[in-house]
Amino acid sequence: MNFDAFFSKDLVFFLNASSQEDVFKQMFHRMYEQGYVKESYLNALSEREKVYPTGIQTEHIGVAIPHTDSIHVNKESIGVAVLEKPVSFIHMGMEEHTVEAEIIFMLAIQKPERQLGVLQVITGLIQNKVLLQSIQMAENEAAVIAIIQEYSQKLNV
Amino acid sequence: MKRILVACGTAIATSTVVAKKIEEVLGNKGYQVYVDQCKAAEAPSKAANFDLIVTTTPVSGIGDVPVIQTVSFLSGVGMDQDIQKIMDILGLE
Repeated sequence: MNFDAFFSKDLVFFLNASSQEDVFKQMFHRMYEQGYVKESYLNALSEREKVYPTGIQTEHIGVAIPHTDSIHVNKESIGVAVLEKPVSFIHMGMEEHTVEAEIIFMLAIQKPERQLGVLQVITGLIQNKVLLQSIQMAENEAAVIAIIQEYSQKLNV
Repeated sequence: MKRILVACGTAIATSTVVAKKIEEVLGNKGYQVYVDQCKAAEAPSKAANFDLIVTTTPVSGIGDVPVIQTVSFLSGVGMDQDIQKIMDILGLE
């Protein structure tokens, strides 16, 4: 997997967000300004989230992996947001459950069948309590990237 | 070879990872299975060719094919139990 093609410290966010919508807006703005996603991405993302929510309760914290159709993506990338306070997401596959998400992985993916590596990195992170905690405690954007990069090398995908 | 269909909302991210994970875990246990993925909306038309459907989002209209709805392959929570369920349904022991 070409790590630098997906992850960049420009796409790491430390957010003070009031709602899911606010998270989406703040992340979208930077990803749009930098040309990763199309203008239509934000609306498509919100609409998809309503039909197929992406909140996931892990063993210890809630996370979310919002994403939408590839036609709204210019250049593949992963936005990573550490939230100052949790934001409610509906749990994937369980309409009646909400998740208090603390870390968001926003996926701008074009060819899923070719992106298995990066998706495995994200799933691996989600399942790893220690790594998620270190991401939450990271001092800055570069530190977050370093954690993910080290893990990605270890996973060797 | 037993056939598993993995479904998720839009077949962009989750079904890709889940399909790989199932293949990997069963492979490590010595079982080769055929795993395909699709959007939840496509499941009804594809279901008949499979022994089991694993989905992250509710699916309907898939007839008699057994369904396991779970996010354990993403969250890690309850994954072992789900693997056991898959093996039981497919008769892998």
